[in-house]
Amino acid sequence: MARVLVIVPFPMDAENLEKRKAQLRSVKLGEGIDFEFRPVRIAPANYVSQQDAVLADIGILEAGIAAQEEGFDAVCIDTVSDSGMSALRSVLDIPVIGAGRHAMLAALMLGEKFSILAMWDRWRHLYTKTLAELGLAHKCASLRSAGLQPNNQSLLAGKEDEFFPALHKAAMRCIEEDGADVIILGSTTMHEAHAYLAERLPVPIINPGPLTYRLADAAIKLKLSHSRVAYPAPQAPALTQLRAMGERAAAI
Amino acid sequence: MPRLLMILAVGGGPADLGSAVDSDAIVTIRRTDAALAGFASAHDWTLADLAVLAAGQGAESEGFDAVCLGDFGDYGAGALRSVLRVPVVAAGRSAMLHALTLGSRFSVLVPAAGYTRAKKLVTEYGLAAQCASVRAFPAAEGEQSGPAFAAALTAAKACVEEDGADVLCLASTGDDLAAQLAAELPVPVIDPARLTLKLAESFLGLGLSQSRRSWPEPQVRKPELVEALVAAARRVGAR
Repeated sequence: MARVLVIVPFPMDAENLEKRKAQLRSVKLGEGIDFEFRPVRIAPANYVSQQDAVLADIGILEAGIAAQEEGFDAVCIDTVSDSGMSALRSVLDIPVIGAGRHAMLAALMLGEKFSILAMWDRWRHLYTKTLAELGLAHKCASLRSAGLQPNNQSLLAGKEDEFFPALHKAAMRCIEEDGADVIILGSTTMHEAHAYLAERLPVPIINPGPLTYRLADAAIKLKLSHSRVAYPAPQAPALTQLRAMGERAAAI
Repeated sequence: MPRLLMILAVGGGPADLGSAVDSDAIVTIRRTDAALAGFASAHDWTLADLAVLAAGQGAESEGFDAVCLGDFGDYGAGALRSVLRVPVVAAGRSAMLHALTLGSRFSVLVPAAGYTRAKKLVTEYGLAAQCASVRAFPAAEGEQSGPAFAAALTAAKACVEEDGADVLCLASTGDDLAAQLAAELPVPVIDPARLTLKLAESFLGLGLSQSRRSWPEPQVRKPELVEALVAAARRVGAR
């Protein structure tokens, strides 16, 4: 049985963690693979600034740094920001799948141009960072938001009637005005809207969290992990220091 | 039980294609017509486009859930995507994009006859900035032992050491060549044909297929004409 660690980028209670695990129901998975969801101990309140980005990187690195010793075969990071992905890749030999990078590249397997549909504009910096790293800004038709306030704990619960149509309207503008051939949900926290949108849009829409589960399976079966040349290893991983930070943050 | 149709050109081709797919998947390998073989020139590519379209255009009515094009040249990929609703996963496009999930710069390692086509695809997909190099090695498609392997390894090392590649895409369908090269190199080596099968499974598992906006349907479909053209070439025989 292959074991995959899914790092959830905020501390949360069991009930809210279930809302993250619900992403597993949106994908048909092969046999012989199991997913364990683990919330981080260190996190910002949300992902809207560079301060937040640093805290997110640290928190996700801390949560996953020992994944290989713990016997996991791959790591998925449950955020389109790809926070912590590069840091984890530098210390782990097992595949580390970041939802953002993989969603953009998968989108280009399915169409010529994609748009990223976000809840609000405060997430733009997450996408421009990955687009710049990939050098694929010319493949992005647009970054659009529906102007909605996200909640990284309760997700979209109770707001479906207001949020789903607003997201649909913004997605249609991506297609009709911006020329998107494929839409990417701008956050794994938007997964509850995926089925609604997929039924109503004339183009494919990528649900980034579930995509990572399938790509983790592909990485394990094909024995394809990230390149050590692209992600050189540190001389001495700061496991002890990161553990001390994690314990301190958990106590606050 | 996903049924995957793998279309490959006449000649090489991996033996263990099915080893990475889920146990309930059924992989059918179909070779394109020998009369339309050859990959070295634009003339050959035009014929290969037709051959692949003919081999795959009926995939849905035959009950296939996805089509995988195992040759790196992506012959017929656009044409099949325009006539099919099921996912059509093309080896070249998928391998280069997948390479960028594993590193920031890739090289394409290609048997000499495929060099020009590989260069063309890199540009066409807008990936020239991410491509460290396209390097040819002198081997017939599918060859892998002895001098051919040595030549491939020499070219692969040059991709990494001289050109700065983080990841290699092997534009060849030879048995296990990717694994043999990876064992000798510090970077991952992608075997595009096997990758297409896993991606097809992934897209099916996620309910995804190619965008109709990128590959619009023809106004008038010509499946009988396509079939007749290939049949006519077959009657004349291989070149």
